Formats: sequence, C-alpha cells, structure tokens
Amino acid sequence: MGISYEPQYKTTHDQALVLMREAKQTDPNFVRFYWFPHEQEVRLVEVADDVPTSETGAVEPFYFPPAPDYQMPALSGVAVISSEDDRRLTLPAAWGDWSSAVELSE
Amino acid sequence: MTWSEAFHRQASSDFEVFKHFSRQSSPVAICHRLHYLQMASEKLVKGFLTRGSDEVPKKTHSGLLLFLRTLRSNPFVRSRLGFSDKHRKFDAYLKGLQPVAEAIELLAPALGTKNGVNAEYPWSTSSGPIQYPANYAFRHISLTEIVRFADFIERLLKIYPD
Repeated sequence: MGISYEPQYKTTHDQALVLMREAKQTDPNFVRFYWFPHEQEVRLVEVADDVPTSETGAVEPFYFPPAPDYQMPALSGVAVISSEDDRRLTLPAAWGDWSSAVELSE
Repeated sequence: MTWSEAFHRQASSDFEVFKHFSRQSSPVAICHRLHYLQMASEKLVKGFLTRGSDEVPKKTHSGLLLFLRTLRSNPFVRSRLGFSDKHRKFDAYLKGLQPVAEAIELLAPALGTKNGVNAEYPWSTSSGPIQYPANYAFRHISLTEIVRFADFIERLLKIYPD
C-alpha cells in the first residue's frame, strides 16, 4: 500500500479500504479516494468525474451506522465530490484540513 | 434524542401519510402523495447527514442524488437491498432511480422546476395560466416511477430503523 498511519487507525483504515473497493467495483466513475484518519469513525471523500460541482462549497458527508457483519465495525462518514472540487471544498470542522488527507489506492 | 433519530422518525411518519394517501380509495390529489414522498425522502437523507454531528442541520432541500451516489460504496445497503454480489446490477438499480429522485426532489418549492411546478403552492409562468398543485397531473413523473422510488424509500427506512 505504501500508506503510513498510526496503529490505532487500523480498524478505520481497513474499513475505508472496504468502502473504496466496493465503490470501485460498483461504479467505475470514482477516480480518487481520500481517507481522513480517525480512531472511531471512517471519514472518506470519494471523488467522481460525473457529479456536479458543489453548490455549498463544503464537503457534506452522509453517516452510516456500523455494520460489523459487512466489515464495517465503525461509523462511516462518506462524501462524494466532483473531481473539479478536488481538495477545494471546506471539510467538516472535525475532519481537520486537506493536509491530513491520505489518498487511498490498491 | 439526536437530530438524526428525529429526522428519521419524521421521515417514517411522512412516509406513512404518503402510503395512506396512496390507497386506491383515497380521494386526495396526487400532489399530496408526491409532497409527502418528497418530504419523507428529504428527511431520510437529512437523517444520514446529521448522524455524525450534534449541530443543527442546514436548511437544505437537496442532497438526494449525492446520497444515492454514496450508497454505491456500502456493501451493507447493497446486500440488504437484495444485490448480494451483483455490484453492476446494484449500480444500474441506483442509476435507474436517479431521474425519479431528481423529479421528486424538485417538487420542493424552494428548489422547483424551471416552469414553477411544485407539490405545494400555486405557480404561474409568463406564457401560461395560474396553476395549482391539486389540479395538476404531474405527468412528468410516472406512477411506475413513483412506486419504484417509494419502494426504495420504504426499504431504506426498514434497513435503518433509526
């Protein structure tokens, strides 16, 4: 993977990878995935070529409850943004800034 | 109670009104069914937007299409909607919902279509007479699409009971 992160983030990192793989399998128009390390919840931004640019200027994640049977033991905050908005939108206050984003890849 | 729980429960209640108005014996105009379906879907989506936060949610009526997009990365939802290992079929199912989801979302007066059509208030256009929802057929949304979208909303409400 070549991605370094603190050990306490392993659970949410693994779950972010599950979500990324699922998205890529389902829809080829996702081009990039950013994970924002956090111990308790997954914070993921999915970048797609075919969604409109944001009208609010903000990343607005939808939160899904844990589903341990589906490799999702933690709360998932997932946002989809346009590739034109990549790294330009304001993040939720608790997520920090774009410098803490880890781009996920296989 | 959290904002998320409150939105989810209100979405369930709105959806019950939609179902009540959708009975064959119901005499109400289709605008009222569509209005409650639009409100149920809007509040369901807001429930997911507010789950990770204690903040008062923004007053927005949009977000349904991005929400549909977000579901593509969720193996739990895919499985519970009956698409176990069928990723592409799941994608096709969600893409198939997009036009009706957009049409339903635009029924909110604050968003509205270009010609003013909405499910709550009278409207007029420069070239036409004044119209009002209870006397409008909403032919741009087929009954089949309404049923399909309502089924999706109902299943999501069951998948995530709160």
